[in-house]
Amino acid sequence: MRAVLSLAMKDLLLLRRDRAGAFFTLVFPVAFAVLFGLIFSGASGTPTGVRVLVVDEDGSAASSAFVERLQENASLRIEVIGDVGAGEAAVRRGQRAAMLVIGDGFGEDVASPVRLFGGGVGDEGALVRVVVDPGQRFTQGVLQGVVTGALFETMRASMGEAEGVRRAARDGRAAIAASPAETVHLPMRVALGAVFDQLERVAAAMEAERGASAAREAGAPETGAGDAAGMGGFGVRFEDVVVARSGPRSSFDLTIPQGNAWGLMACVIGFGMSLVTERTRGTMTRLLIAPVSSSQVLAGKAAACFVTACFVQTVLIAVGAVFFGVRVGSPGLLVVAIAASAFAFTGIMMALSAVGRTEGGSEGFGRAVLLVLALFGGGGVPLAFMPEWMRQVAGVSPFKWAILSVENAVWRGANAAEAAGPLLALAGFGVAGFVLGVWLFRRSLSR
Amino acid sequence: MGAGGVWWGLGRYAGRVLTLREVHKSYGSTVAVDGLSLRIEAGEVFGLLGPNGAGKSTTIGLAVGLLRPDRGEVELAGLGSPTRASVRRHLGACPQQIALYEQFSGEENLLFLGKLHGLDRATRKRRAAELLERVGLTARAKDRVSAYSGGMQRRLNIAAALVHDPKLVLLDEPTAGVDPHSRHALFELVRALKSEGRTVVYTTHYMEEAQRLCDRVGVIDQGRVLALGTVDELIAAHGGQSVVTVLRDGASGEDKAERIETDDPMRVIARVAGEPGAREVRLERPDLEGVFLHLTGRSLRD
Repeated sequence: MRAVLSLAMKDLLLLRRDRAGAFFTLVFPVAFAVLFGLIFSGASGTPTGVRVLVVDEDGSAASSAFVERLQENASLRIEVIGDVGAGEAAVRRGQRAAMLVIGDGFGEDVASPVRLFGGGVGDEGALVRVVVDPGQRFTQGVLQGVVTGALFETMRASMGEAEGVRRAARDGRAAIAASPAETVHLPMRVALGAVFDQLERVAAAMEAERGASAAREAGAPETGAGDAAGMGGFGVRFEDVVVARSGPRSSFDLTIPQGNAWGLMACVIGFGMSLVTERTRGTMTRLLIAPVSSSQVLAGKAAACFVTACFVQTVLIAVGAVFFGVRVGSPGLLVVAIAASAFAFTGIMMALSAVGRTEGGSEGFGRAVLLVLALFGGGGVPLAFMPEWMRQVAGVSPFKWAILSVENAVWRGANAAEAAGPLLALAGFGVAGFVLGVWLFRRSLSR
Repeated sequence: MGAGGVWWGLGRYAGRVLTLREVHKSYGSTVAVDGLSLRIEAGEVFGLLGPNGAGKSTTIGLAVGLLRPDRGEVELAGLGSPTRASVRRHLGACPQQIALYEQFSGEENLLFLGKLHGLDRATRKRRAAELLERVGLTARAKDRVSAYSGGMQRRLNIAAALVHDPKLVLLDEPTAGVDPHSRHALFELVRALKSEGRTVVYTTHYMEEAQRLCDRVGVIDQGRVLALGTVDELIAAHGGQSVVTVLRDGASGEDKAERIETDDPMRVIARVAGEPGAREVRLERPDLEGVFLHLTGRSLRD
C-alpha cells in the first residue's frame, strides 16, 4: 500500500508540474461549463426533433387525429406508448423530453363546446397533460405552441369552422332569448350566456390560429412559444416529471455536469499518456526493477487518476455552487456519482493507455475515441438536440452515464432505483476498463 | 536481510551472487537469449561484451526480473528468482535508456526511488545527498532533470540504481552517448563500487571499457556466451598472436614495413632493437576486438 501511495503521489506531483495537463484537466472543464452555461442561459432557439411520448387514454377518432397532427410537426418526434408510468420513468431518466397524456373523454370534450367550456379549462379539465423533463425546459415553449395548435386544429375539425362555432353561439343566444322566462331561469340564462361568450372567443382564436398558419406558410418569421403563450396554453396543462422536486435552476445545472465530462476526459488522456510515457521513456523499467509488482505500479497510476478525477469533479461542482447557484439535491448521491464516474474513467484510462505503443499513437487514438464518445454522450450538445441515431448509440458512451449520474444527484431528484442505472453502467465501464487494461499491460510486459 | 548484507557469502552460495542456468528467451520467432549460462561472483566487475543486438540487454532484463525466461532459471543466491519483488530489493539496475522523471529535480528522483525501496525519510535524504555528491551533481540537485546535460543525466541514472545501497549492481551500457568527461567519471564510479565490495555486472560493446574495468568478461553474440574468463585469459585463448612491426632505414611507407607475428613480442622487440638499421618498432597486442573477431568472424562494431 505504501508503494502504491508513493507511486500515486509521484503522478499527482508530475501532473502539478505539467502546466498543459493541469490546464486541460482543471481549467478547461470549468471554462467550458461557464461558457456554455452563459450561452444556454440566454438561448431561445427552437430545438428540432424533440422526442416526445404520447399516451392516448381516450382512443377516439379525435384523439387519433390529434396524434397524427402532432406527428406531422417536424419539430417533434412522437412515439405512442400505452403506459403512463413507463413514460414518466423515461422522461425522468432523460431518455425523452416530454410525455403527452391525452385524457379519457378528449374526443367528447373537443366536440362539445358546452362540455369543454362549461366547466372551464382549469388544471383538472385539461385536454392534454404534458409531463416534461425539467432539464429540457427549453422544449416547453415549443411543445406548448405545437400542442395547442394541434389541439385547435382537432377542435376545429370536430366542431367545424369558426363561422360554424360563431353561428352556433348566435343561434343559441337567439334560442335562449326566445325561450320563456319560466322555462329558462335567469341563472341559467347567465350561465349559457357565458358559454356562448366562450364559443365566440373560441371562434376568434380559431381565426387567429388560421391567420398565424397562413403567415407561417407565407414565410413570416416564427415566433415560437410566444404564439402559444398568447393563447394562454388553452386546454394544455404542463407538469414537471419530478413534481415537488427541484428542476435545474439555471443552465449551469446542465453545463457543470457536462464540464465534468470534459474534466474526466482530460484525466483519462493525461494519466493514460503518462503511463505510455513511462513505457517509452524507460521510467516504467525503473519502476519494475524496484521492489514493487506490476500490479502496484498500475494501482498507483489508477489511484492518482481516480483522485484527480474526483478532485476535478468536486472543484467543478464547487465552482457551480459558489458562483453560479448550482445546488446539490443529494450530496450523498453526488459523492457516489463522482466516485463512480472517476472509477469508470480510471478504468477507461487503463484500457486506452495499454492500446498504443507510442505517445503520439496513444494520444491520437485516445483523443479520437474519447472525443467521439463525449460528443455522443452529451458532453458537447445535449442529448435532446441530437439526431435520433445519435441518441440511439448514446448508451455506449460512459459520458452519458457520468453526466446523468451527476444530474441525478444535483437536480433530477432521482430515487435510489433511478440513480442505480447510470451508476451501474459506470461501474461496468470501470470494471471492463480495468480488466482489459491490466490484461493488455501484463501482456505487453511479457513481450 | 538488508540490502547491505553479505547474503552471498554464506553456505552453499559462498562467492556466488547471481546465476543464470540455460536461460532461453525469444520474442516471437526471434531468439534473444539462447541457452545462456553465467555465474557472477561476489565482488567482481563482470563484463558482458557483445555488439548491438547480441542479447546483452535481454540478459540484464532476465537478471533483474524484468523478463521471465521461456526456459532456464535465474537466481540471486539464497534469495530466489528476481521476478519476485522482494528479491529485487537486493539489486540495483541502471537501464540503458535514461530512466528518470524529467519534471523532477535530481534530488526528487532519488528521494522518490528511495521511498519506493522502502527507505525511511532520513535515510532517503542522506542517500540522495551522498549520491548526488558522488556523481558531481550536488550543485544541480534542485534543478529539473530536463535541464541536465546528457552526461549529467547518465550519472544520475546510475545514482538512481544505487539509492538503496545494493550489493549487486547491473549497469546496461551506462556510457552510451556520453562525453569523455562523463565517461571518465563513470569509470571512476564503477571502480569505486568495486572497491566498496559491490558486485557489478556491466554490459558494453566497447572492448576498451571491458578491458579497463572488468575482472572477467563474457563475450556474447546471438544470445549465447561464446567465451568467458579474465581479459588475459580470453586474449590468450582467442586473441591470436602479437604483431611486431619494424620499419628499417631506407624503407618508407607501411608497405615496406616488416610484420612479425609472435607469442613472445618482448623477445622479438629485444632482438630487433639490437639489429642495425631498425628505425622504428611498433607492437600490436591482441585485444578483445581480436577475440571477438576470432570467435565470430565479425567486428564488434559490425
